[in-house]
Amino acid sequence: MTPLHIVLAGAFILLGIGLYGLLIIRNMIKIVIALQIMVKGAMLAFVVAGSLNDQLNLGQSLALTVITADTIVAIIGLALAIRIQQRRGTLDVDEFINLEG
Amino acid sequence: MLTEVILMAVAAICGIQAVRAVRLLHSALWLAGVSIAVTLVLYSLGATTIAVIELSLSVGLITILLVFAISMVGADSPDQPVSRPLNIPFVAAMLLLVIGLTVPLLVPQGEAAEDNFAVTFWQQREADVLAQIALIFAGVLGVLGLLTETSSTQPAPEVTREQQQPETAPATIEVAEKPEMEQV
Repeated sequence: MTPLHIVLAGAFILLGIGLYGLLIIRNMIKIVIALQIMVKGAMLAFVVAGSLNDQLNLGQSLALTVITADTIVAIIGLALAIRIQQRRGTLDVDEFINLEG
Repeated sequence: MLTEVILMAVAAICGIQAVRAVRLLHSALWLAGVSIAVTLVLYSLGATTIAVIELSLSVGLITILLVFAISMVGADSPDQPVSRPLNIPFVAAMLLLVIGLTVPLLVPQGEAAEDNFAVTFWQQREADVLAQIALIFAGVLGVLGLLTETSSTQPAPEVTREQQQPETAPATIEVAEKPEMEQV
């Protein structure tokens, strides 16, 4: 087993931790945190795949795209959480069943 | 090899603590720990460019944004995780599915012509660059749309009874005076 395989296993573990967090968490800011953990696993998998195929720079450029998208998702999610907290007074996603357009 | 094992264990422990922590601020700090461990793993793999970007964006920007959002929200509202019996089997099934779909594709495919990172990113991944520019513009517009105070989204100010009384009082006086005027 090489270090790349260990990192790949760790990436899958991070993916699982983030997915489990998405299932059990109700707070909207913590959902953003769980998404961040998932995306870190995916980013590590990109870099490991690039290293395994001797295309590390390609893996890095794909990981950079993932990081940019992840940052934008986090920013939009946090802004949405702040707005919802101001309008509804809670961050519990179970309270958002009555959405009004 | 031992370094990667330790760093991935640290990342996993920090991730579990970030999910399990009750207070939001603790979760944000544990997430910063995950990012630091992932950055060190990337550096050990030779992906130094993306390690620097990950360190500056995830550890710096995202952590600051999370702390700022927690302070904007006000009270560090505790979160009680909901435990359902099918969570762990579902996560295990999804992980097995992902592993089964991705690991067979990770077979080494021989020598590849490898340029430096700048050539690969700017010349071979032009669509990714355009997508990132579009994403950044979308993010800026989204934040402006969500956080800009507009008059239509402002709730109407509550008017108390004491504030309403001076407006209604002259109207009753006028109604009471009208019959007298007609009699005259």
